[in-house]
Amino acid sequence: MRTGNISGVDAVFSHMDAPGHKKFELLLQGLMGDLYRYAYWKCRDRGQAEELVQETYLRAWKSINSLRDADSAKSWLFTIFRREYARQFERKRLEMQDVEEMTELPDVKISFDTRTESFVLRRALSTLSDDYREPLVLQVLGGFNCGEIAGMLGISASAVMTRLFRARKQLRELLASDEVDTALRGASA
Amino acid sequence: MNCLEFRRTSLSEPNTASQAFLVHRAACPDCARFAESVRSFDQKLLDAMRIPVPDNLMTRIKLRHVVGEEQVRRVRPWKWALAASIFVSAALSVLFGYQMYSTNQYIETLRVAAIDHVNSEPQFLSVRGNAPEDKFRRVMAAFGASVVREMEPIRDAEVCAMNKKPIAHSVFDGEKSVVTVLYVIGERLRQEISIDGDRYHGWLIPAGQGNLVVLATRGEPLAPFVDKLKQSVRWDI
Repeated sequence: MRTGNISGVDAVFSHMDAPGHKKFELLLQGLMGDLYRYAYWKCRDRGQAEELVQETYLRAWKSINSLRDADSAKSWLFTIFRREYARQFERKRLEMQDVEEMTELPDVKISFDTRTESFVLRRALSTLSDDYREPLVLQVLGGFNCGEIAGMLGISASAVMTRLFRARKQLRELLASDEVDTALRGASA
Repeated sequence: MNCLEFRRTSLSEPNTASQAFLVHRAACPDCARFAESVRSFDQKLLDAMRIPVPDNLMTRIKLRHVVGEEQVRRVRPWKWALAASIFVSAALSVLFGYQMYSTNQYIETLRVAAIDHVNSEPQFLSVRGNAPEDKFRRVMAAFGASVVREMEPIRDAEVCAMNKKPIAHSVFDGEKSVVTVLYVIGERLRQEISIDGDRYHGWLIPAGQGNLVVLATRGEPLAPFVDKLKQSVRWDI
């Protein structure tokens, strides 16, 4: 109890017995990390990502009874996030941080990959347009297949595949990987 | 599937389980090497995407969840009570009498529960903590309150369960001993009510969607503390 963290909330939370609470707890324990990271890459702002993830879970709780299939939990949660993002930010058209700020991750705790390679990759990822970056993040980080991404983005699966192809191609060009570039030129010819 | 199609698929859906894709990969060493380079690149990309998750994000979500649930529970009965009171307006006087009785019952329940809660956590009273100054503000924020002036010196602030419901529990150094402040969501009292017990004295102060309970051992002067508390903690609604 004698720390800066509000630890007592864990005990209160674990003793909640409302219907759907266990399901909610699993969603929180299992998916919050990936959801936050997706939110970060979507918003490119840590504070907005945190706020949106909190709102997403509040909304998820309100409709927790509509979640019946554990296999679809992740896409269900990410879809709630996307709706919340659209509601809060696309309407307001808030300014996003630029690439220079974004690559300097604000969290001082060194608990992520700090290799130069990762830094360069993050920077390259930041330069992709939203249309290309989002499906790539959903696939690589979220583990969704093209059909699932298509459903979430409201576009066709073939459009998703095209975006993913171009996203990887652009990234590799940015990173100037000779071997792959050569192969890519052949693939896109 | 030819090599070009294979490489396009590698770049758009590298983890596909398509039979044609798998067959081509097994048959074509160059394409297999290409697919492996894409897989390796994706792994590096994944490492780069895995930015750190804030330590306290889960706690904040849980906090909003438990407090939000309690607030929702409070709203529903009130709405039903309002609808019922309109519908059976002829019974208003009866309801008023019942409400008086019910409020008195609530005050007594709250008083007893608060003192029991304080007694059940003696470590709060005996150990001098070193909670960060903003902890009280963070805990109260979860209950919809703004702390516009820091309350010092604070020993600790936490979210606890009282009668299985989340409450804010904060302890401050008083002049002679310690002062406990609980925030309990529930029936908001119409006025401040003093509490007198064998060991404790204090106040019930209506605030937000419930009441603040201020408790200290007898002999601890509370008036200056309560004034300071009322100036420090604000609710928007």
